[in-house]
Amino acid sequence: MATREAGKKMIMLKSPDGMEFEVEEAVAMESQTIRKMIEDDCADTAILIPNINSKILSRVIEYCNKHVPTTGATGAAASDTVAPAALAEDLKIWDAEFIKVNRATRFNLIQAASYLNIKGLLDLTSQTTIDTISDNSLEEIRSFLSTKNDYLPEEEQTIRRENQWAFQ
Amino acid sequence: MCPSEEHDSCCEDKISSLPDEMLIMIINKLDARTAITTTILSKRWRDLPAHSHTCYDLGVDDILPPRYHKLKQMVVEAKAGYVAEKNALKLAGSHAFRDRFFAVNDWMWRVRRLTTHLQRYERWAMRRYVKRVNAFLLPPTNVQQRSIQKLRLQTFGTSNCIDQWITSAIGRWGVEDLELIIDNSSWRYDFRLLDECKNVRLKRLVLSNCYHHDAPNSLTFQRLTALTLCKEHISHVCYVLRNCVQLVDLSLKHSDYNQDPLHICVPKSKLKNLQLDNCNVGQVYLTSLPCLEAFACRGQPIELHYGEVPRLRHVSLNFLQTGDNGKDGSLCRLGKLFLGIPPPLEYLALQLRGGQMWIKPVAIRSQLNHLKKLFIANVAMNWGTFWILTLLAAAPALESLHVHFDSEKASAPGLLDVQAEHHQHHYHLKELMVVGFNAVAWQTGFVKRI
Repeated sequence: MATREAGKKMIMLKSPDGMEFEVEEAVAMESQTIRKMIEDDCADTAILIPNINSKILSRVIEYCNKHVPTTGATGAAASDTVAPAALAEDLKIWDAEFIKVNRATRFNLIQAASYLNIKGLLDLTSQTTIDTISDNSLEEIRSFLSTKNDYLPEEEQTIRRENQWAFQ
Repeated sequence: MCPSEEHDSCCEDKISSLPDEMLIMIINKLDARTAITTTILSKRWRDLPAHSHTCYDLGVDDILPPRYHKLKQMVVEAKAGYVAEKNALKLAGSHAFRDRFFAVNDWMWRVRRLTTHLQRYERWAMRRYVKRVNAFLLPPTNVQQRSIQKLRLQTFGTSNCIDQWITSAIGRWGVEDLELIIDNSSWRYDFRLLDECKNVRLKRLVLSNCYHHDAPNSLTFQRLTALTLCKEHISHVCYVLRNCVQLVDLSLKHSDYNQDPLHICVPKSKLKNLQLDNCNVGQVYLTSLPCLEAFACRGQPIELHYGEVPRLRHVSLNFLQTGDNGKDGSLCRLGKLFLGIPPPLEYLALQLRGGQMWIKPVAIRSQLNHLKKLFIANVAMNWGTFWILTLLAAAPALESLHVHFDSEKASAPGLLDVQAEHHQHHYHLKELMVVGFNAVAWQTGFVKRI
């Protein structure tokens, strides 16, 4: 564990492809999974994050850096003038930019958010999928999710009949 | 990891490779109808043990395409254009009159044409909606029963089926929480139709443009604990309260029928929370409501008279002063908020918006001896603070004072002569919070005085 100026505790995160990321403890603790490791004192040396490659991990860290609650340390003068509403608005715009990635990256981000248990990121990444399911026809959803329809016609008919209202 | 992940096509199977928990999480975030449609995607989706829904939101708005909303915006703009052109016509001299006249006509035709389109969309959506709700609420009896706890219905105009929907929702499905919103029209339902149903569990009801006053002594109403009425005539409040003997929460919204004073005198009522939201009412008399604990009012400023309200602890007033203010007549005397018997208030929240100062700092007659918390928000920078001191003087037991100044309108503080002498000592004041404190001279004066 390294210590940097201003006495901020640093944590080392390692991806399976051998990259190492040094992040502030507060940033790493945005992930409930890592928080738990730190609280249980399992984080003496570097923490290995399995299944998440360096590219995705760096994006996750980018997200956590942005979303870590800003405590007064980052310029008390600035926080006086900027209303919280404006900050939230900024963050929203930033989020929208952040999530402009291709589908594969997004799915990887969903998985990473799920494993690391970062609620905000999970909400953000799964929202696109939710929107797609809400706004498109069944065939479009199937092709988006690349799901094969494995029903027999009569089975499909039964489901449609039981929940007829939903398919109206 | 996919080597060429920039291409979507190679990784298209990704979402189905997500573990079940993730898919369940996604499904659980969908609304009930969409969640049910996912069962038809494939067997895997059908067999996911997602939680079963008990809340259903069926609104005709969901059926309307985005194009409809664009059209609606165009109608609003066309109407504005029509009004503007019409006003210009009134002012125009005779030489321009002809041109203006044709322009007004153009706008009028535009509005009419667009409105016809809109209405076509609405009729089309409503036809689909009626089919959907019929299939949902009035299915053949052999269909598997589902549990509906909470239901929201929103329609455009009316349909002959509405009576059947209400009866079936409350009587057959045992909905506990029903919201019925009828846009662009109104409907009258006789709730006595439900008196013979055994399965009635309705506790909370929201009605917008749906009337019920012809149903005295309806059993359904006698069991209600929460009721919200939108666009209802305000004078029916006492009638409603006498009818709904179990009612705890009552909320009235957007009723702009008259400006008569509202007298509420129902000594037998169990009402605890009363909320008025954008109701066009000038004076409110809380004459007798023995169980009332909280009162909230939002919208135009009112005059508030207290009567027999021995349990009233919370009052929240959120006023917006609109129109031509600045004249003497629009100033609100602070005392107007505390007329009648001094209420045993413990918590008072005041939010006062408006470009100009409109609170007249006149001494309050009644003492707020029990007031512990005072929360004042949206105080524009250019307002005086004398009235806050007046309030403080009337509340000797105050423990906490929050004042939020509105820093966005930080224009030059103008009329500030805070020369009040403040003799009262607040021995109990433990917490003082001033947000938006810019150390402007007068504000400093204000804090020193406390």
